[in-house]
Amino acid sequence: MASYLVCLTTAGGVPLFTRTADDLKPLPFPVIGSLNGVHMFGSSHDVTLQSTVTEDAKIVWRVFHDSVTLIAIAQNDDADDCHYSNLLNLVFNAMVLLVGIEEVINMKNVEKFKKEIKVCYNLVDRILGIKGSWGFCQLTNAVEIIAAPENAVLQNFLDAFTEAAESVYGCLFIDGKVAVATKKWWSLSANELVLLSLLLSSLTPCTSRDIPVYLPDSHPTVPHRLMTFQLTRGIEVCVICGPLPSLTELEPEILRFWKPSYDSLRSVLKLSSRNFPTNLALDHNTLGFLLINKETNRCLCSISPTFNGGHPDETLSPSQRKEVLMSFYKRMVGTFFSSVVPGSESGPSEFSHQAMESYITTETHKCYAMMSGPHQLFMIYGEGIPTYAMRSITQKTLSLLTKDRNISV
Amino acid sequence: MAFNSNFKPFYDPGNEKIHRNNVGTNNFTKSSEESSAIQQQRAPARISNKCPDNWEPYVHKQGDLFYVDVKEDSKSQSKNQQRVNVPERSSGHHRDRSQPVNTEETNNGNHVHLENNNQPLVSKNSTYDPHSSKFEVQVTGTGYKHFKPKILFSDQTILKENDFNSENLPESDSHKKLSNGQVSSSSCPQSEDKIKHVYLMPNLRNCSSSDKSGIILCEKLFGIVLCQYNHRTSQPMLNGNTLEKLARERKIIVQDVLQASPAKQSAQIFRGDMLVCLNDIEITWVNLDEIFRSISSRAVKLTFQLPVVIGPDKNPPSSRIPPPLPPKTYPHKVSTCTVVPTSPHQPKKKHHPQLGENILQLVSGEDKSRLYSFLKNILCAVLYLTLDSRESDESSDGNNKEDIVYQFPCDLENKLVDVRGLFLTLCGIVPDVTGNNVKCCTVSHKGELIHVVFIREGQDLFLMGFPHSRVPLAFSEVVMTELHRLLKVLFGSVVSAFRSPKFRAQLDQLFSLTLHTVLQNPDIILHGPNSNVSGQVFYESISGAQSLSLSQENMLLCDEILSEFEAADFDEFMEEDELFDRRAFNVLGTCLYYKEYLLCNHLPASDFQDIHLFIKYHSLLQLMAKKSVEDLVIWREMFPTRRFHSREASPPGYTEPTGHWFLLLVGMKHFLLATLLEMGGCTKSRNIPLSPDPFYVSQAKATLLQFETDDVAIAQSCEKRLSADPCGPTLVSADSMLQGVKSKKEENSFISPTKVQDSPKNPATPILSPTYSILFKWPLSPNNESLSGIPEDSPDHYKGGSTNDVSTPTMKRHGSRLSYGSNDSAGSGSSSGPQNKGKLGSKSGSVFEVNSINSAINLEPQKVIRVTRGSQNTLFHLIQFDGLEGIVISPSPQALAASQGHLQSQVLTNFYKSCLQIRNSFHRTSTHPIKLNHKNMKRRVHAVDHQEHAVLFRYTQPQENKRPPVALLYWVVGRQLRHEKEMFVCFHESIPQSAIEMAFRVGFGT
Repeated sequence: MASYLVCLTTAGGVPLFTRTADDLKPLPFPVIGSLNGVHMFGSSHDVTLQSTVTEDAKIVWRVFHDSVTLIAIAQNDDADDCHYSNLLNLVFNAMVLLVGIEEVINMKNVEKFKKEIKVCYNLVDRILGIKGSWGFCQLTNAVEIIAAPENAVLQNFLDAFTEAAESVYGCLFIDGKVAVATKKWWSLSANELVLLSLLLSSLTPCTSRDIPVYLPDSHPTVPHRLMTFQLTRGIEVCVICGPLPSLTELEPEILRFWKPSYDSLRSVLKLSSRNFPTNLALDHNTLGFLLINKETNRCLCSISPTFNGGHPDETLSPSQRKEVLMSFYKRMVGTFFSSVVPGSESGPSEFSHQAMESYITTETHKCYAMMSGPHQLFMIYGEGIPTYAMRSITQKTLSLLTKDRNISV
Repeated sequence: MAFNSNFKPFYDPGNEKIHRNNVGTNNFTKSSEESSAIQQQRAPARISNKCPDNWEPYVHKQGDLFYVDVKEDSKSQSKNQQRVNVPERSSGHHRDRSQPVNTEETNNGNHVHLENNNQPLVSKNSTYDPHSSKFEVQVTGTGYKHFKPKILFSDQTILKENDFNSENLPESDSHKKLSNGQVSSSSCPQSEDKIKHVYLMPNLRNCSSSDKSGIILCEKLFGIVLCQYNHRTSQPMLNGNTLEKLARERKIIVQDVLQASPAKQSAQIFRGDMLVCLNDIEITWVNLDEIFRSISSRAVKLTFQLPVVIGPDKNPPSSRIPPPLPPKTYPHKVSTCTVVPTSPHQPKKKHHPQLGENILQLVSGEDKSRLYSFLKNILCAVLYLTLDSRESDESSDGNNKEDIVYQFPCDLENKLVDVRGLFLTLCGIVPDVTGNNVKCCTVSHKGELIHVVFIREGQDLFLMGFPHSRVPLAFSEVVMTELHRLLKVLFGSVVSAFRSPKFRAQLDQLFSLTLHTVLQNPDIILHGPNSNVSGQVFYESISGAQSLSLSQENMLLCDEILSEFEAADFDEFMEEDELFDRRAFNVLGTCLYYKEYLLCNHLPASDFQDIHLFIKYHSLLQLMAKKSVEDLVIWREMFPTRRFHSREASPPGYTEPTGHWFLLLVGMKHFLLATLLEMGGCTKSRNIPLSPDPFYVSQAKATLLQFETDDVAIAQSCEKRLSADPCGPTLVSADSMLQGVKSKKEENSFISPTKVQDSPKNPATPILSPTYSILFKWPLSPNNESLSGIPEDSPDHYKGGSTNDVSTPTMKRHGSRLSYGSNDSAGSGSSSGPQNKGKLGSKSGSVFEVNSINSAINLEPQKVIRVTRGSQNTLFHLIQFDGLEGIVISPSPQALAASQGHLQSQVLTNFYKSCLQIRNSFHRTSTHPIKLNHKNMKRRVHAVDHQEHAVLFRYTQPQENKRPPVALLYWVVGRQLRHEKEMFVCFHESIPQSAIEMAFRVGFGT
């Protein structure tokens, strides 16, 4: 999504770091200086520069705590500004997560901070989609889950293991998505949930690790330890602990606690592209969906909901579906619908009535969005579906997905 | 010839026969001898050269003309006479009589004059127009009162006599104007409030940075020596007052004018003049220093009030003219005229340099100072900046404003001006980063969101900033695009528009009008009683004309009359010697508006859009709708997009002739006729600039008069169409729908078409609860008594009925000239309409009369027209936009008024807002497939031929008495077809969506 990110000190305009997409040249220093300069010039005149749009790009400025200025240059996809500021907000929180708010706000030694902040490069790249793929987490500000029938079983394993680790925060990630987590884990804020899940997927795979994290919303000043253990390829379990137990103490426990769950884990892993139980059959026109629960901050997404590779004459590949679903979400949220994305309510509040449903039809696909209580469902269909049928199919899909006991979105 | 015969019944119905007999024989001589009545007419189709028109004195040197004469009713006139001397009123006239100060002024553009002519035509011929009384009722006259010219002082009877019955009309007329200006001042005790505007270039070299005092600055910059001076008549000595009050109330009086100073050169400023405004900012002793310090190198507008002259011995000091004139006049005003004031030829020269400052008041009735005070509270700006280092690096003081080429409004304090460096820098660096120019940016100031839109022209930057609360981003982008095009059309290029000082005043006018409309000055009510701000925003953001669809007969008549004018077959009306000359102009095409609706268009789409933009941004349609215009003549050269700004190559083998193009707008009553004239190719070549050709103007007026004749009476049918006929699908109010949901459950039931057709006539039908009676309001109008239950029958019925007798005489008269083939292309679709309807009715088994939205023409509205499926009408609103033709079709204000209600207005507000969003997303996806993403996929996904975008809104009624809450759900659907056609509908969700899908399909044949 984003092509560049520039981070500077607000007071002095000293560049702290810049991130650049792979295929682009890094921004020359004078350009960075001018980009920050215009913003500073504006604020000296009591005018806050928020965003600038060209034909195909958008530049967004944000200042956090009068200490850090973030400038993002991203592709302009006609989305509301709230999506961009949400990303920058996540970037700032990522810095807090890994360095702690004290360091970020009261930057004493800029050179030292520049070195410290290097730890969050991967996470920042991941958030902005500067390198690698870009997921739904950071877009919806809700953590992506995988809904498997085995989750109930796995929940017991996780609870037991978390207890053994003398912690209340435990979570099982399968292919970067949360399969199960402890109650306390779910009580974390949306930002923290999203950042932790992105952090795990941004790190290079290893069998176990122990990293200090500051929870940006609940404990921004107190470091916790995030310990992760790889159970098998693509499956990681993590706990957030205090000073004890140490990694070496916990490592031997892994085998003892998780060995019996191996078969369940394998079968969940098989679901990883579908993300929801196989016993649920959706309409054959469905190319993908994104289900968000605003209250629990979870989202469920699938871009291959049907088995046999979908409809024979389908026009969109899975990656295209993901792209379309994202752009549909961005066009809707912030203009017609409000969501957990901060600032997304300002656009819809201009309407005196609440927007409940919406659809878009094009030649290659059709999209349908439906709001129902805490749930928001965004569907993408092939172009073969009649427009009049979309509403009822979407309604059915929504009730199917929300009523199923294996799916706890 | 046809013109003549059409006129005659108009002037004297009794003569009609004679004239018909004369047709084709010696018409020319006959009619010229015949009646002085014809000569009294405003549109002497013949000898135009001998009988100059009222507008002629106001033609600008450049050839441009902006003349509007609004008919006032007697009530407002009396009001006007009382108010006649409010300061703003005579701004232009003083300057008329003096030599322009600098080039900016001399070459200045449009000439505006408002004149109250007391409607001699109507008063003499009461049979002139059956509607005239009706029109006059609509005239409120408010807002025009400040701009009564001097002629108001004149005895009205003299004016009437002199104005229209003699050959030397212009002489007497203008003479009167002139002498009135002078006589009146002595005769009228209130005339002390004379205002004059003087434009001066500040002499910056004279002043050093140490000069702080405004008095010294004023002296150094302009050579004006100020003194403190208490007005003797109004204020004796202000002994007891506080110092502050003294400073505020004391007048700023010119004591002397230095030799060889800008002020002296202007020959307009004299001792005793009172300085009231600088750049339209009121100036007092309190802010004098500050204001003068802020003066930059650009021309400054100084506004003076002329002193009251008490005694005869108080002649102004610099009188150069012998005083045959009454003592109160200021001879310097006429001093530069080469002819004595009484000369009959004088006015033409004298009126030249009028700055068209009054256009705003002329067309919108808005007072300029009120607009300025309104704008003061809103953070908005129109700026033209330059990145050119040559111009900006000369001095780098903080207060340096060298980089501002143009600024509107010229407030001294404007945050957007202060941070213009931000915009300049952004536009400088962003292309380096993204490879594209900046389109817009969003800033916030004190919690208010402001969108700034940009267009970069080489080293220059044209930007406009509007607050988000008043102008959504999508709308400001539209305004920018349209203004950009309009500037190119009017001035050739944006750079020349802003860079040439001669256009400055024109730009001031244009932008004051634009801001007036765009920022939704609360005074404007555009689209009927249900109009709301967001609705207006949406309508304004569609760059198309609202069209009013007449019946086919009337349509044909309009086409006929316009074609005749376009054919330029003026033989009978021209002088012998002219007859063999080449024509001065080629008529490229015309279009006709009635009130704010387009009736008929014979122009290529691109040209039409150019002209419509001109009309739109000069708020002319609002003027035509609100007031009955006595006389409106606008003439100016334009640079059509098709010829000058389009990159498309002309088709091989043929190139259109190069030359000059002129826009001629002629308005009368509620009609506005726009004509695009071409000079070049086969026409006589003449020198540019060219003033309006009286001959073409009079021909255009004659054409307009044709629409008013009894046997054509287009105005009548327009009014009928607007007031009585449902000219589009019938709308239903959301409020009634909400009640309906409560009481009725059978809304989804389908019934046969005949039954539904019958239902309007049969209120006993169970469906028709009183709640829905509003649906069937239309067919009960008197015009529709011939309503038939079978839809297929009705068009014939209509043709055979009322329209026929109206149209026959004209058709006969036109005789062989009638050429059906030349009618516009839209006519081709008309025949299929009714058949379609019939077929559909039987095929789908439901009511489905989309023919009404099918094309602009084939509306045959005799009944409740339904586009929705189901037993009930569920349509709340409908707007269709044809981008190729530039036409908007939407329900008439009356139709909207019929479906009123609190909830309905909320529904419509949401409808308009979401339409703006939807439309915006259509345009973005269709015009800018995302480029940063190089995958093939993207382009394919977005390269769509048709799109549909819909939103469902829910309104839940607040709970009452523990009953279950009642919810109203409605769809707003936008559909784009083939890039150019767009349609937006708003309807209740109770009907199945297939109906909508089919409505779109059938309506557009996709």
